[in-house]
Amino acid sequence: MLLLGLLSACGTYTFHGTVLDPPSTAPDFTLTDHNGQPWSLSQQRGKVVLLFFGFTSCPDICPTAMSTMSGVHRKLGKDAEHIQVVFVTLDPERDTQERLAGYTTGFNPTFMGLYGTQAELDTVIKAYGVTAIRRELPNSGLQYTIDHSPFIYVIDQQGIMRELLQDGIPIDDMVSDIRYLVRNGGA
Amino acid sequence: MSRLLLVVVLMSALVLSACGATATAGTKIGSLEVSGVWARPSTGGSGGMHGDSGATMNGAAYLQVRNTGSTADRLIKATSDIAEMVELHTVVREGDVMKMEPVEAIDVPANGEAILKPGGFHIMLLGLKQELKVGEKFTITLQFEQAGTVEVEAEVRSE
Repeated sequence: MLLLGLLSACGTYTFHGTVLDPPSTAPDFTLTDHNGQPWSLSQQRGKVVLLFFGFTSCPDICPTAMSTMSGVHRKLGKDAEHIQVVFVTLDPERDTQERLAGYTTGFNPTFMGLYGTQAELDTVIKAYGVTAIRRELPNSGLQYTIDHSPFIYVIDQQGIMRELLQDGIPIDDMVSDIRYLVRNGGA
Repeated sequence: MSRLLLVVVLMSALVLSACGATATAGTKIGSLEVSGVWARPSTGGSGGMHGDSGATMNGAAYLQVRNTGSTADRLIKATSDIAEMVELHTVVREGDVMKMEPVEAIDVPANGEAILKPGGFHIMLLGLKQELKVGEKFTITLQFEQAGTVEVEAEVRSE
């Protein structure tokens, strides 16, 4: 506590993820949300956005990240009102609106699933430097998988990309980072 | 009276074991002991891979196998009535990319253990036939190359 106090007194806070230096505005994009409505990043100003790219058939990495974000949301308590967790599908072929809705809200009712055409998604994927490679799995009932980056992009209330989180970082550290962003605006 | 006490003690033990992740007693087969079997709750419905809703979900189960014997073994197959297909998978990280790969078997070294956990080896449940709800249990049958076949109970929990 004392240490925290000292740190905040100095005006510096050390993030636990990969910090983007210098921080820059997260690329804006518009996709369709799981309610069928247009969803733009620029409309989320005032909220800390946690952005994750994945696919709902993914049994391990994606549910682990989503479950982590669900834990972060729960631990944030009232501060969670100021965050928005977003899951962007990398698998528009299998991830229908209905499927995304069931999937994302299953982790937390406030989580939002986004989809679009492959071309729309490709633009976002490129803008965020996400790796997403479809690979056939002839020996699996899954038929194909999508190799992808495991990052959670943390975008502050001003739309600035602040850090990349990933599993392995203790959940309390993630909570601390997000809480800091919620309480300190975009400053 | 003493019978009532016994029931109370047993029930408390059950409650305790349900709460602790590591408190669950293992299932033994030969020199192997399988413990800590769990799966995440499913999200987004069920109904088989070819269900009308198109909302069928996959899941993953995790566990540990301890081998107290001096012979190495391998987990070569897993089956469960809860899913249309069950496969053994692992996750490989290459740079900043996570790749999921089916594997033929998971090694259980002599005097060692195999750990199936998020981000690594897992039992993939393809096409869940029913929702996995927190607190519920379901059966997985594991087939080991040396030790043979054993049924274990997986607990559904969020972490």
